[in-house]
This record gives sequence, structure tokens and C-alpha cells, in this order.
Amino acid sequence: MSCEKRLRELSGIGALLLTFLACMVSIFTESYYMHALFVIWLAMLLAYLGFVKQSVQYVLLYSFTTFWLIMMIPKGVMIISPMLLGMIYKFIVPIMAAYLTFKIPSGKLIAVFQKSSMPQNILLILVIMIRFIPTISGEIKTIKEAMKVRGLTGSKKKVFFHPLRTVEYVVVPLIFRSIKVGDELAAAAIVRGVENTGKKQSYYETKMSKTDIVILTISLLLLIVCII
Amino acid sequence: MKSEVKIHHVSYSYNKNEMQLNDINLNILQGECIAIIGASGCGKSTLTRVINGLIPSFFQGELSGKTFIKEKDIHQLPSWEIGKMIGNVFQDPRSQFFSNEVAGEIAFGCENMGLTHSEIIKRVNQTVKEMGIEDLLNTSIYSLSYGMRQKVAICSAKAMEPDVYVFDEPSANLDLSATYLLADLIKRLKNSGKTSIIAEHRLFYLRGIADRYIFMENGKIIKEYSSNEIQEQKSEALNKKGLRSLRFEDISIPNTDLSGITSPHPISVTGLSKDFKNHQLLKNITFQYDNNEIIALVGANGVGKSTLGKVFAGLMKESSGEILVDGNSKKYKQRIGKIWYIPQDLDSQLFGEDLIDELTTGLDNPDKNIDKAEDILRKLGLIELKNKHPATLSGGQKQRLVLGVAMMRNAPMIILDEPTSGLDFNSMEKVRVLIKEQQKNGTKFLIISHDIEFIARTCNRILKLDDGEITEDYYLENIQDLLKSMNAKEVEKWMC
Repeated sequence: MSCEKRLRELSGIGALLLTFLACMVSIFTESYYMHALFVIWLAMLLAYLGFVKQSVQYVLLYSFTTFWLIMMIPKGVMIISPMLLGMIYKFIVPIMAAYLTFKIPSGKLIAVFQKSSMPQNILLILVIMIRFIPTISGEIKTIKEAMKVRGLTGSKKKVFFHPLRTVEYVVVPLIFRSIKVGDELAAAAIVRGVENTGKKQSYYETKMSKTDIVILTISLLLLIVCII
Repeated sequence: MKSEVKIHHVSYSYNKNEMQLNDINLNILQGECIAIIGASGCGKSTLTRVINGLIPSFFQGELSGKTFIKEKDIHQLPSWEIGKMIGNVFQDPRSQFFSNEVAGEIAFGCENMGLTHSEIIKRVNQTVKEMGIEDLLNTSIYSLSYGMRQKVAICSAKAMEPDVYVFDEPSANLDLSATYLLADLIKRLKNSGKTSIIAEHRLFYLRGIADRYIFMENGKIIKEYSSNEIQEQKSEALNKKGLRSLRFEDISIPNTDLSGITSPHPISVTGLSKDFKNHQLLKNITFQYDNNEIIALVGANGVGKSTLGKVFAGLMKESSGEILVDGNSKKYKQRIGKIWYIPQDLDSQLFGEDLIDELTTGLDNPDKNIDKAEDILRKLGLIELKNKHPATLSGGQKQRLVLGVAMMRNAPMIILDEPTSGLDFNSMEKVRVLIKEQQKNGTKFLIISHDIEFIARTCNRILKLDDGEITEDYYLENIQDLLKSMNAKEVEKWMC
């Protein structure tokens, strides 16, 4: 079975539940070993579904962070902020699961939300939020290029002494672009009947697949082990 | 024939001072294809919004008069009921999609109509089969070209099975072959008996498709042309109305004498290559500026035009080869700011709070350069707007402003990537005049474009890129040569 086909087997509800379990692990686990075990499991899962490069990157980042936290911080080496390391350590598990969630078709996630008795307005906000992530990452790339041409990213000195100015350069065009895209998106949604208040069904199945059940059972077992 | 859309004494304004639409009357018959034409700001887009019901529910303002579709007053209907009758395709292929993959996008409208799961699947499969894109169902929309995205947009409207289609400048971001693909799709809708309404200022692709051309100015319908009557219009007459030419053959190439123009900074490229992931994007590119000629870089989508522009400007590092400025080899970082690259997306390159700030931002002494900035704004014809926020300008004004930023830095060479997408004739002319002036002052230009009319009127020399290689390099003297380089004839023939 190809990686793409495997990924297609993952349903929206499966991905969301996996992310939820990952959050639980991050909140409740105290043991370094159990935490590491879950990271390895997620890394395996990412690799299995075809994201080998990302899997390796996450594991390397995780190993480095944990090593620094355990070995260097107690010795008083503070080159990297301990708070930043702590944050990476805490967030890496949910981020890995969320990464998978954003790699499945957004229609699948929307189908899950639609099935739930969520109010229409909140649903619409969620839909647009999911829709905006690729837009924003694309926009940031073009903005960075434009900044390079103008020398606004210029010297490292400039960025270091005026970090806020640099952020402003990115944020201002990003906001204007987002307002414009948001407006056009909303118009495109309305003419396609998004305001219909009636009951809606979806193109995607909201049932769990076998792949989901296997992944979730293993994750749940690991979570229980982690908490005990 | 039955009346499909009827607009009866419709007027609209969103601020009371100015009328965006002024007493519009229009009767569109079933199966007709209508082009609403006119310069930017004439009210053609506004009229499409009245027809699809976005005015007054989404765009507020004062609306009077009545609009009927199949004899139903649409302003009495909720938005989703109008959506079932009218399919929409908008201008920007980046901002009309909801899903990240094709299947979900086509299903979106059907889901909102309240169809069952099995009915939705049936409609999606049927639509992609009819339009011949079955193999794209699971593809990410962001990986598609703009032309294919417009096809997906038509599919997602079609899946809802409306009888009327409304297009708002659908060709604005498309290259030539994608525009003809769009024309083919509109033709197919027409042949299956659907009614189409297209707001446009580019007319060439609608030749032989549109039955009537409604010409608008200042929110009013000025004149109506039949398909035959518009054929008789000379390009010059159309251009005066702010419209683009109907036939490329009519476009005259201005005689420019390059000998009197100074060329202070010689620039040349030798053996430039760029590899990316085992693939050669650019292969052994070699050329030099003979004088201060304006070079157009043409070629199909994805042959490496933008990559060449970015490598040239130092935004990407070359794999091998050399670029000489003033006889000195310049590494990629040294080229930044000397060779100025202006990308297609204008919104993401405006950083200032007002126009003066826009021109001076990033300079070492912004305050000392205000006089110079005002001078440049005068040249750009934007001095009256100097206190406005750059994001509030129109497309043509923004394009001139970003050129002004390059002028402010005295960049010896400027690369423009698709500078005229979405611009009507008048805005295009203003950009052209500005470029010509700068050419006389010694700036070199490389213009990446698929806009035949703009290239013919502006550029002196053509470089054609095909699969990363320069395959043609000549001075433009004859419109036929250019049409051949752009494959205009072949695409058109293939259409018929």
C-alpha cells in the first residue's frame, strides 16, 4: 500500500482524536521515558504515512531539546533559554499529531464538525481558520522575498536590535492581504450557499476506518501507560 | 426564447455621493452568452454582484430597482436559494477555494445545498468526468496552475447544476493558453444551453462565443454591440474606451530608436544554471544587454521564467554561471538591490503607512529623502494620493508605486513579473509610459509577461524560455513573430 493510500485511510475523527490523546500525554506525563516513548510512536506513525523527512526532523529536535534540558541546564549552561526548551518539549507531541491532522483533506475535518451539533457560526469560523493556514504560509514566503529585495531583512544587527520593526514589516502586509482574501472567501462561500441553516451531509465518510482504530488503540494504551 | 435574467431600473451606491450603478436595464435570454465590458471601475463587477445577490446582503449600500431570475425576484430569496440558480467564478484563483483538495472543493456547494452523502458523491464524480479531471480528485489545489484552478472553480459551480453562470474577470490572472482553456469551457457551457454573464475588459478570447457585448461607463450602460458589430471595431477605438484589443494582429509595434538612449551600466549573463532536486530548472542561460533595450521574457507556465528572474535578482543562488554588472562579476547577495525584482503579488510588497513612507522605508536616512520621494510620486502621477495607505490604491496605481520604490533606490536594472495582470488598457498604458521614461533615464528592464498587447507596445527584444533554455532571441519588429513565440495561433486553432 502506498503512503498516500495509507494517509487517505485516516479519517477526520481519527486524526482529531489522535491530536486530543497527544495533548493528554503532554499534560499528564511526568516521566521522561514515557514521554519519549510516545514521541517515538508518533515519529513511526509519521514515517509510516509517508512523512519520513518530517519524522526525522521532529526526532532530532526532540533529542536535542531533551539532552539540553537534562544535561546542560542543571550545569547552568543557559545559552538557549530554558523556557524555550521547556516549551518545545511540552508542545512537540501535540504538534506532531496536529501536523498529521493538517495533512489530511480539510473536507474530512469539516465533515466531523458538521456531524457534531456545533452551531453554524462557530463551524464557519473553524472552516475559514483551517482554510487560512496554507494561505498565510504562502503569503509569508512572498513577503520575505519582497523584504529581501528592499533590504528590510538586511543585516542580522538590524534584526537583533529592532526585532519589532522586522515583525511589523511582515505583519502589516499580511494583515492587509488576509482582510482581502477573507472578504473574497466569504463572498465565494455565500454564493455557494454556506448560509443555509438546514441539515447538511458531507462528501467524506465520518465513520472510523480500520487504520484509525489500530492507531487510536495503540495511542490510548500508550497514554494509559504514560499516566500510570 | 424565455427571459432568464431581467434587470429592471437597478441603481446602486455604497456612499451617497457616487452612483456605482445608474438605472441599469437588461434582459438576458435563456442560453445567451453576454459580455459586460468596460474599463476598471465602470461598474461591471458591481453589476455581477447584483445578479448573484451579494449586493445588498454582503456588500451593503443603497439598492433600488428589481432583479429577476426565472421571473423570481432574487432579492426576496435567501442567499442559498440564489446559489442554486447561479454559479459563480471569480477573478482571483487564490481566494475562492475552501478545501485544500479538489474533491472537497467541488463538493462544497453540494454539501451546502443539503444533498445526501451518496448524491454528493454522484454529483462530484459526474462533474469531474464531464470536465475530464478525474485524475485530479485527490490533488491539492495549491499545486495546480491558475488555469487549472479556474477549471476547478467552474467544476464546483457546475456541480450545483445552476442554469446561469456569472464570471467576474475570470481571465485576469491567466496566461494565454489558460485563457483559451477558459474560453473553451465557457463555450461548452453555452452549447449545453446554459446562460453565461461575463464581466471583462479582455475581449480576444470571447470572440465567437459572446452573443452580445454590453459596454458600461460610470455605472451606466452606454451601448450594446452585437457579435458582428464588435468585430468591426478597430482596436484603437476599443482602447479609447479602456478595453483591450479584440485582435492581436491589429496591434502596431511602435518604432523605437535605441541609439539615442544612454546605457550606463552594462549587464550580461554567461552560462547561468540552476539545479533543484536533481532537476535543471535553468540550463546555460547566456545573453547580454546590447543597449538599453527592454527585454520581454516569454514562455509557457513553469518553464522557469520566474526562477530566472529570482536568480538574476539574487533572491536565489545560481548553481553555476556568472552575472556581470559594470564588467564585474557579482555574487548573488551583491546583486540584491542592484537588480530589482518586483513580484506579481503587489499586496505582499507594500510596507509603508503612506506613499512617502512606502518609498523611504528601509533607506538609511528616510527623513532626508522626502523631497526625492515627492519628486518620484509626481512622476508616477500619484502625488495627490501621498497621504493614502498604499493598500487602498487600485491595481494600476500599486504597480506604479512599486516601480517608484525601485526608482527611489536608483536600481540599474528592474525585473517585473507579470506587471499587467488584471490591468485595463488605461492602467496598462500608464505603466508602459513610466517604463519607457525610465528606459530613457538609463534603467534596464526585463519583463516577464504573457500579455501580448503590453509586450508589443513596450518591449524591444524578445527572449523565449523553453524548459529552462533560451530558444529564441530577437528584436521585435513584427507582431506576427511575437504571436508565433507566444504560440497564440496554435492555441487558437486548437480551440476551433
